[in-house]
Amino acid sequence: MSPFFARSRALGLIVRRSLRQHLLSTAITVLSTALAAGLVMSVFAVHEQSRRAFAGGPLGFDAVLGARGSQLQLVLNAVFHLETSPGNIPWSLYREIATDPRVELALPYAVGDNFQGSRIVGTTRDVFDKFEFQRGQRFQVRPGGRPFDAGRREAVIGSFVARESGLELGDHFQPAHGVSGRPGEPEHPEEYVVVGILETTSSPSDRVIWIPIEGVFRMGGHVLRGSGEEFEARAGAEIPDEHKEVSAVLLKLRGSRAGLQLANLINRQGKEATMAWPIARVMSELFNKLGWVQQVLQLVAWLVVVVAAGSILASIYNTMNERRREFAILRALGAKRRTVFAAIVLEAAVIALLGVLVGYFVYGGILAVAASIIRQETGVAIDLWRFHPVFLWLPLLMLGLGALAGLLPARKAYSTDVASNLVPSS
Amino acid sequence: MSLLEIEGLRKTYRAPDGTTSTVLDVARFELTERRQVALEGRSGSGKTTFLNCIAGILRPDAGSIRLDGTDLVRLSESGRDSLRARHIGYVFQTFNLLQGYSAHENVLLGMFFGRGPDPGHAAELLERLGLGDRLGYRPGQLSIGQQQRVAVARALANHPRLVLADEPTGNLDAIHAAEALELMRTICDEQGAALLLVSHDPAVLGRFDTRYELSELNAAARGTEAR
Repeated sequence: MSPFFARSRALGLIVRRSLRQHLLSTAITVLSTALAAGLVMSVFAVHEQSRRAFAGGPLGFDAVLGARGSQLQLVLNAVFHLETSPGNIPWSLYREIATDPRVELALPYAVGDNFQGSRIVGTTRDVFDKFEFQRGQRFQVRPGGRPFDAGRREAVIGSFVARESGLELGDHFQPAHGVSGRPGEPEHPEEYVVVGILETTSSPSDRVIWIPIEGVFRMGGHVLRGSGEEFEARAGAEIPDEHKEVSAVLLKLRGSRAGLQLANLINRQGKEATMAWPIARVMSELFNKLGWVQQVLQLVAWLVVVVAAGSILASIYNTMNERRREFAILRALGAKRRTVFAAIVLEAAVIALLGVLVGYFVYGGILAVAASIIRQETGVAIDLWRFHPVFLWLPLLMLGLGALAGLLPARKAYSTDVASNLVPSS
Repeated sequence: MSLLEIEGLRKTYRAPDGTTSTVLDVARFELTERRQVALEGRSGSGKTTFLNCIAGILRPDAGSIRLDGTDLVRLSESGRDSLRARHIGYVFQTFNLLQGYSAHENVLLGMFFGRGPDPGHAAELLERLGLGDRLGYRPGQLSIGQQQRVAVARALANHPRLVLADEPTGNLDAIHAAEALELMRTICDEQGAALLLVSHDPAVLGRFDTRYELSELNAAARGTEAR
């Protein structure tokens, strides 16, 4: 066995025994390091994966057309089913954009009601027949169910709604007015029957109850102002198109040039509506606006890392006095100064490494909770196992910091006088 | 053939008040290969300092210590560490076993820095010393006599040319002391190692054919006695 390999094995033995001898302080230091590592990984990965899910995830739409106002509010309302609608646009605008050759698919989107907090969205059958929430993937109705009939009071519910509300095929429910889902909101007299439950899509659509758009127009108490005058639908009577209105129109466009042209036309020249395009840019702007929050979180995480490195230093440094004799014995056995120095630096690095390994579990825990909350609130799925560079560079950084923290106690071990710490001279 | 040659060895210490005192002043000392000699020394005669200088743990202020022709005094600290690890076994008065390590690991650890770890040889030595069923025991779980035998095994594990023993039986009763001493001498003999043992115990000293009085070798100790 080469001397180098023999010394490496000796270092391994020395470090293992020291960690075992100081098990409690080792465990506490490893945990504090794990917390720091898990926190840094979470701050970086949750931010990145949230951004990816909200701003870069496959949503199936390129743009949203809605009332004049905030593009962000429009996207949050129509795509992520959050926030309130910024207002309505007349049906004619939907018809106009739907027949534009630059538009591949236009889905009308009408909101204003909920069932136990789940948003009820009125739209057309195209949502099942043409819309792809991911390339090549359409909504799939679970066996036994079917899409709604546009002329009936029928509903198709997302998988999350089914799980949360307990609604099953054939169940009846009455929509409540408003989108907040707070108790006490007045219920509409109309009763809807669940005819389909969608397979999970891991998209915001899982939290939606889809009904025919005609149903929203005819919901008791709904007043239509598409023509500028108030209009209430009467049972059995046709609703003239000029009175109809929608909250938004979800658009799939034929290429980015179409988006640019339509956005210019609607946002710069028009006065009636706003087109949020591209959706990813609008969401990116949200994340950019919240960039300072991310910076604060990163700062806190780095501070925790510094504290963890300090705790490694303190935990090893505190053992230096009791270990002077151990170092002296090792030196008397032939260990060189640099060997005991390396043993302490290695011990600190190993504590840091163990911390990072446990940190992966801490990260997993934090991300699982964060993903669950985000899923609960938005329906957006965060991928727990998606790779992020932080998983690679953080262990290296923590190793380096750990080794750095070991330098001071290692210097003390290095300078241990052998003879005076071995046996008293006579 | 001479294994150890010491000439003009001098070691002084500086006291906290700034005064210096010479604790070691040995004009000449020699030890041939495979010989076993005892050095009689009372407390304060500088015996531990003498052994530490020979082991290269302390660097003398003057003189030369040649082990197999290599002058330890001229070697760097790292060079002395290497030479000690490979050629010198040291049995300390207080054994100096590492508390967190098993008996087997204590023996093995010395080998890591010397000729390389040989777990089989380490176990064999411990078995030879009657500790075959105590390999995994830590020092705190062993009796004083057993700890002493682990220390002997550790000192001999690297097949050293020279074994230094500082009051190795000082903590044992007469029967265990005699047993341990005989085992150490036998294994030294088998391995061809020379033994330099310091003690003030007449029973131990009486077992050696060659004995030196450290105070006769050490002029500094003579001076102390004269005062």
